[in-house]
Amino acid sequence: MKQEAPPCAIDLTRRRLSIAIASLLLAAPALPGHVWATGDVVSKQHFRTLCIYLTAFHRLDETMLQQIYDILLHEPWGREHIRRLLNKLFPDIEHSAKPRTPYFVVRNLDDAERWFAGHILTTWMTGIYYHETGNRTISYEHALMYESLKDIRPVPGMSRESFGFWQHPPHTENTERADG
Amino acid sequence: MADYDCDTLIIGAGVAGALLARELSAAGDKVVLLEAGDSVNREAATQRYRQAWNRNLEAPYERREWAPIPDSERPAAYYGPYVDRTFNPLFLKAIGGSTWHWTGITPRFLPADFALHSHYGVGVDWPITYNDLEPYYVLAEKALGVAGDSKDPQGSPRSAPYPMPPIPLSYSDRLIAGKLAGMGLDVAPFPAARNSQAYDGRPACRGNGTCTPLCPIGASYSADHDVRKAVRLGTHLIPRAVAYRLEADRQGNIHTVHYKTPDKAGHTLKARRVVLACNTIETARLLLMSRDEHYPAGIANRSGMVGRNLMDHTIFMTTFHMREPIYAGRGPQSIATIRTGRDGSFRKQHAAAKLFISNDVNIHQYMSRILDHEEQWSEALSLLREKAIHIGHIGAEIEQLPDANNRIELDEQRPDPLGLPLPTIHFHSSRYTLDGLKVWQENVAKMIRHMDARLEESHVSYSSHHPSGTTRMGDDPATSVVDRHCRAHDHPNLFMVGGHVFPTMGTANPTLTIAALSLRLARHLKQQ
Repeated sequence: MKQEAPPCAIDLTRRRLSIAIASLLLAAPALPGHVWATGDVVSKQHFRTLCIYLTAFHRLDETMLQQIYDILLHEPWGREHIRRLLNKLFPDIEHSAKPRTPYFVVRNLDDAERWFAGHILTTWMTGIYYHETGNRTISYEHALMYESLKDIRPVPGMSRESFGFWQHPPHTENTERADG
Repeated sequence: MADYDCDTLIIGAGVAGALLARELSAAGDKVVLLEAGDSVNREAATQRYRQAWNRNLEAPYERREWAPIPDSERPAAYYGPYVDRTFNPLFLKAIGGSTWHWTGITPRFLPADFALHSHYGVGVDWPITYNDLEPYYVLAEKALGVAGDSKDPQGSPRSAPYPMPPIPLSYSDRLIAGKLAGMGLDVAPFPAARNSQAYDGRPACRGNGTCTPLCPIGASYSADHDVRKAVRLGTHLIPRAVAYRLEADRQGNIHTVHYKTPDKAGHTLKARRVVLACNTIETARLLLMSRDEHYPAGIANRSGMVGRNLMDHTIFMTTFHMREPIYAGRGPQSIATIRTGRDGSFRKQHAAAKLFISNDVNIHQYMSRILDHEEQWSEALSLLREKAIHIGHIGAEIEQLPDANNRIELDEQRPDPLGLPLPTIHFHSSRYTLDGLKVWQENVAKMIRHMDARLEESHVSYSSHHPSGTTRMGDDPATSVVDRHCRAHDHPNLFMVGGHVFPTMGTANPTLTIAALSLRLARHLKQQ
């Protein structure tokens, strides 16, 4: 089934991630054709569970979470997509936050679900909500590409360190895994 | 004086214009400083950068419709259809100019850089020597606030210490230095106009890691500081004023400067002397735009050299992956040089290079790549962290020789919003530079192998945003535009200062030499 994307959707052909040095041109994810029914209300707690699962980061900023949640609920396709992802990834979410698989496995998702998972992930990682009607920064310092590395390096342009801190290695566990 | 609006009219409020205005005003000159752009508020620029979805070199700075600038993403928008995407010299039009978004690295030229032809039979010699400029390097280092190791001249003999101790090497720099010592290579901190202690009302660096496009706390020098000093000393600053025509009498004296304001209204100023300090691209553009029936090739262009001999540093950046944690990307974006490549008899055959260890790990670039691969989504942060811990960069800026065919011209078919023709660039890289590029990339690859690291990729750009050479200095009016005192050969009261007067560019970042030339010109004008 292939339907015309709604006016607010982002065309698949625009999904281009620049590798230009010192620039940030992240993906405007594709919104494939889909049934745009308004789903049931999705609780913020369930949305948090979904975001933690997708990002593998447990200390998500609450303000940013609220902003993303509000934005998605205002998208005509937002509730339905959240609900579908939750149904797929957390089949018993009303009773248990236990996911279907311990780790996020993208191949278990269909095209629409995959697009939406990427959309949420991109927003959390970059702090930017990409949309064809205009990209907007939701958070700079809480973007996970900065937040998750705070034990290694200051958020760019927001150092609270003193002169010369860079001479020494960071005080961090030398772990190769993301904080989660 | 009654016939003039001022003694000295300076066009361009970047580092060259700012220092010159400050010096001449201090000496009692009546100075007017014209600037096409406007003031920049650091806090607002910082916020603008954080809000931008495309955090490139221009992101913090407001676009001024009346004063367009080159665009990182769309080179042709400013430079026309001929320009290659890999040659897109960027600059700002603002009070303080491009020092708002520079890394602050301030090596001096080497003595041999001033006499390339005499030493190695390539390029041309400058009409002045290193020794002529050395006292002004000292003054420039004091003005900009340079942190450096006074016991380490790095090939450029010094007559005075740096005003501040050096920026210390990062952990990753020291780790790399330890590995490269086995190859007989030495790593040292660059001199940098970045405070290692509070200096001149500005704080010490806190390692924000955004030297380009903006130091959020002003620990790096930006020329708006000297514009403010000049204004306090009496300089009359006119921002939002786009100079578009110089008018000369039959004897060659410039008697009127025409400029436009954002409302497109025309204005004029008369000055006893005029100094052009408005960037390599814009200075040549202004001279070419000033053609009339008496000067059909433009002002100061009897030789036909205006706009020609455009140079820039070719730059490459090689990425490697270290087995052990390296933690690059903490602190200033660039601190250390690998001491090889800037001079030697090899310059008879191929270009020299200034090697550097980049401390700029573009986390957002790595994240964008991870997000581009769905199979990596489930471990995105783990992969990013792995990059942040193990990735490093070594790069080099490579000299380019003057070539009259590398030039800017006016494109009458592409007017800017004020109706003024935009510049267009014709540029190709010489065999001399390309051979140098190959040699230095191979050298860096050897270093990476020696460090037992894995080479991941190497990117090349033909511009380091160091455009130079379009109104070059020389003793021969047939082959140069200005003389050894930066005075136009064709116009006794017209002077130019900036990277555009460089006959050759060596491997040093240009700003300190621009500042030194400006202070030397100030001394010359004060003696007139």
